[in-house]
Amino acid sequence: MQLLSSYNMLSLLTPPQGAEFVALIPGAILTLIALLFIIVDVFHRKGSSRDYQAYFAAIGLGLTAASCWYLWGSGLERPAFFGMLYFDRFSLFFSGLVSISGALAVLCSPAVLRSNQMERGEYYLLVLFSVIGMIFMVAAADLLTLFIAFEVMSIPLYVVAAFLRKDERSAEAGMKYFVLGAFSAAIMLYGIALIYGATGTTNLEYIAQNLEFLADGGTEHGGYGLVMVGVLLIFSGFAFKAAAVPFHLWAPDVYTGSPTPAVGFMATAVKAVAFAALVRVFVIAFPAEVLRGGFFGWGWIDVAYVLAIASMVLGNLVAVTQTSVKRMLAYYGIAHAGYLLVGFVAANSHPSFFLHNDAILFSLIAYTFALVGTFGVLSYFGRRGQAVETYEDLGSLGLKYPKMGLIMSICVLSLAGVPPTAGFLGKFYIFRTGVDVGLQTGEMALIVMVIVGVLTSVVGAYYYLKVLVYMYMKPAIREIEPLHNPGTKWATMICAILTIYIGLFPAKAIDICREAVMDMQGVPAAVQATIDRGEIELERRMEQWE
Amino acid sequence: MVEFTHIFSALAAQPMLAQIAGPEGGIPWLSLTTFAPFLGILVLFFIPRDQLQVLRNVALLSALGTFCISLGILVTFNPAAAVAAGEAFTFQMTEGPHEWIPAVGIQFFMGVDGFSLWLVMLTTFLMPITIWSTYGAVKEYVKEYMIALLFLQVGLVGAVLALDLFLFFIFWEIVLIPMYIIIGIWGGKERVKAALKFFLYTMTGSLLMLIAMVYIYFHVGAETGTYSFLYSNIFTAELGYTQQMWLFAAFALAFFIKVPLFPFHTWLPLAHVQAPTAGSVILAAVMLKLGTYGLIRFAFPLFPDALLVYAPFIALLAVVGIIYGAVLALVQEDVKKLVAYSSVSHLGFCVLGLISLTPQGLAGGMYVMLAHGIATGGLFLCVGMLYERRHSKQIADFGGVAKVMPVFATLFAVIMLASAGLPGLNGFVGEFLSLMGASKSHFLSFGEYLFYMTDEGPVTGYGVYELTGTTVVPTEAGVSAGPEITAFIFTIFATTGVVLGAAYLIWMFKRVMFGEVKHEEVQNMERLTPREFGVLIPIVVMAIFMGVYPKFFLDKMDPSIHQYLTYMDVRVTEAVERSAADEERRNLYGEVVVEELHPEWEAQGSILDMARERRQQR
Repeated sequence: MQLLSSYNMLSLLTPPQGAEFVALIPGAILTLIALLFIIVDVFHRKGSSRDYQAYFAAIGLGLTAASCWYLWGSGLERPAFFGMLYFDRFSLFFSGLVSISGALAVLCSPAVLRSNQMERGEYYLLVLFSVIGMIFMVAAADLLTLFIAFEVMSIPLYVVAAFLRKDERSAEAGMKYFVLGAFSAAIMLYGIALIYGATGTTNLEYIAQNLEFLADGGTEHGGYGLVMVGVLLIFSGFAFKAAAVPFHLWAPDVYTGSPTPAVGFMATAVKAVAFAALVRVFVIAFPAEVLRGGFFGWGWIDVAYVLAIASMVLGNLVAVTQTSVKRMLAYYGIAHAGYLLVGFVAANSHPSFFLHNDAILFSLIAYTFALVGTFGVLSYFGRRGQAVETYEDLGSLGLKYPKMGLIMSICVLSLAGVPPTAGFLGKFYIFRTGVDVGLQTGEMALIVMVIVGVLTSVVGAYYYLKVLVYMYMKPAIREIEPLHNPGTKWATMICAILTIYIGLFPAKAIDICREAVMDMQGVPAAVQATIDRGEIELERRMEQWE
Repeated sequence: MVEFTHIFSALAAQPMLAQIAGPEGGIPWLSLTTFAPFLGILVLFFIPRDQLQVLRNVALLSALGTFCISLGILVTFNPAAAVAAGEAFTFQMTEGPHEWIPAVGIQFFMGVDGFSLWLVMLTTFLMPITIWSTYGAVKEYVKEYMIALLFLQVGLVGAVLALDLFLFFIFWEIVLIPMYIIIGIWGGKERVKAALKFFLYTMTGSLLMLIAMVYIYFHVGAETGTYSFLYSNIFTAELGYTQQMWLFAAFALAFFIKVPLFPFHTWLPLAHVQAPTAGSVILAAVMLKLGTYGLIRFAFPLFPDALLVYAPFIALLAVVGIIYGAVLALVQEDVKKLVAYSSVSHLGFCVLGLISLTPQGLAGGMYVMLAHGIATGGLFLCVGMLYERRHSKQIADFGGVAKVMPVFATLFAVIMLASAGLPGLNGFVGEFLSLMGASKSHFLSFGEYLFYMTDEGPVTGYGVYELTGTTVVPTEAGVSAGPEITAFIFTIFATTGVVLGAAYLIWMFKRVMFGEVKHEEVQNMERLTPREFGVLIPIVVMAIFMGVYPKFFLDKMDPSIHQYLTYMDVRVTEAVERSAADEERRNLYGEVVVEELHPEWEAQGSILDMARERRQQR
């Protein structure tokens, strides 16, 4: 609520302070890279290999991630540009994560595009633009910035989905993604409009402030009816991007049709961003108890609860019946949205558990590396536009190509949640959060949710083991050749090594997630109190170790 | 051996090595034993895949080396350390606790006591034998096979030594991956189904256990303020009755599936039959023991109230398992399946002994674990050798093998009789102790007694038991018994399992080895090669040694068992009082039998100390 005092009319008339421009650095770096990329692309000699463009884009994304690392300590206390952008570790974390995801996916791409006769520079440019949108979306402090960034992120992705235009399914994927995506964006915009109508502002902190006035003035539910509709519409927008049931229908077709490495990027980065924005918007703007609800007061926590269970159950069960690995991964993506929602529900059901949001962040790290690695390996095999897709295509690939097989096994085991991989800890961390909160509040609903999560993840283990079954235990049916692409090898190897490394030594990664959550700016007073308590606790523990 | 360890101690004095040494300043035997196979795996990675013999030899050497290192644990383990009764648990050669994932309260902490010592030794002893046995059997993807086996060993040893609940869980789960791959790639016709079933069964149980672990972790954290998965920390939990019932169920389910106890055993025959010989050996000999080990290490002492309620039912399942497994083994046509069902039966004895909570029962349960590991491991090796020659596991396809392979017949006979429980061989000691312990148990009561014995003579007034449906059996004066009868009945039924065990094994042996040679293939079967002879000899020697000199094994575990029972006694007495105080619960009776240790019988120090002492005396 510091905004009210700090932004009076006078300060709005003065130009932003120089220090505020630091908030733009990661986004600006990437924008410059993207613009530079256009120039480079102009001078490309026709007919020559475009591999260097992939490396260029990857290096640019890597630079962005490095800048996030470099700026880790220099967050801003107040939103920059008159309450438009936050610049805290929370946004830096997600900016870095999506940049890395983009870089790894881009590295895997050139050979796939070549084999589909669609080797074009635009592909990389679209990925770069999309990441720019993501970087601003996770930093948004205002629903308007949020929406603009949302569209900057989405529209390039629609094009990427349809990029292999000689492949019908890619066109179908693009079309589906676009129509449904545009629809959901419109719904979200409608929600924003309703919120604006009710509160007279689009700034997240002002919304929270004005909602309090609304509560004070009216009778019991006062003006909340309108707000509640708005909240649900915004929620559905995020749920669409995160592919949570019942907003998941696009995911399988889009995942199957899009260029394989790009799916790795779309599935991880978009989901990460959706959850970042979800946490940001709902914690800051809609903390009111009536809106939050919580275990069948039917506020947004309850909605998330229902979605979480539905996503876990439906995603995992439908994934079992799939014959295409890509589709299976799409349904797992839905299930994983459910797992993340478990963390979201547990951590945000009461302000005093806010710090538990680090489980979502950690789980996203694990998921990103494992999924990008899996799609990377899938994109490594195949020829003349025929990608490896079904389980049968994988027949004895693991034994023929032991290195790729090992990488794939590690990534798949991580997704299945088997120790000692990062994926296991990610799931463990989520469930741990649920149990912790459930135990402290005595809400059995949370424990039930966790048990549903655990049981469904056994189902998940079944279809992931099927990948291993085909890779190692079934004969090859189709002659599959690897696309010789050093980028894919490196990218997937990085994914596998990080998956194992984070699985064995997660302390650093967990610390980063914690710092990111603790540093989130603009949170309401109750949450801020939790953060302060957490900091004191942390200091005490640090002293104990020393 | 003594000199050998001296060299190591001298090395440990080096400042470089002292850094990796444990807090007590000694050599970190436990970590070395656990992680030594990784060195072998690393070397294997750099050997070309077509160098089959090199790959095998490196793996064998690595396993042998690990066995040598594990001897370090054996000779420095001091059984007398646990004699100080009343304390909760005494672990030796502890390493850690080192912070591993501080944010989640997970530490690296290992230690060994009388229970884990022998399981580690069993694993390291069997692993080289197993690897040696694959020389003839596995010709494809040898590199991967060896890596998987060595990786498996890391998980098995680590799970037994881990003293942090989470660390235990990690190792426990790690074991699944290599075993899954071993069954799935090198297994028989239905290998994929078997591997999947094995993996999913175990994972379902263990994930629920994980949730229970996390629940306890937070419960203890909220109570004491220390959030940690450490064994010692977890045991400070004060759990309510309902909580205990659920948590025990979650833990027990995971362990029962692994053991496997009767109705959770269905994955086992399939996995055993489909797994390659080495896989079956390790699965039966070591992996199943993780389940029983987990029961005594975690499930029993953590939840005394729940244990009191569940104990008779667990014993019932064990007895049903003994008889059911034996009866099914009797009718099997497939030798390997027969051995698999015999595992179900034997592990029933183990669980029955453990749940009786008597010194003999626990010692017997532990001894069954070891004896079953050796004997059943040996049986699977023998079946493997038959299969390599005949390419069949059907009993009907054999007959008269003894005439063709006399040496093999002798070794097979010893191993078979060891498994059947012939006195003088290792199976007998374990089963006898288990049954004896179970018959003495005061812990297996259903609450409502089936029988009640009272003094003979005129009954004056109405006894409580006349108002219930309990049968009153008059006995001689001075003899009266209540719940002990339940335990006795269990024991009677379990004992029939021994008879059945002898029946199915000896009958199988007769059909396979004796009689006329009916098939030409049998006539052409090769004699035992020196390598195979070498594989079976350590097993036979160990079976005899364990049979005639069980003291060597028992006196190392007895102090730990004593300590364990003393601890359980306190917890169970409290639990009985609680159940009496709570009106909503049935009054339950249960008592842990604690007997004094005999100081002359028990070892007074580690093997190394004793050797030093003897040398000084000279």
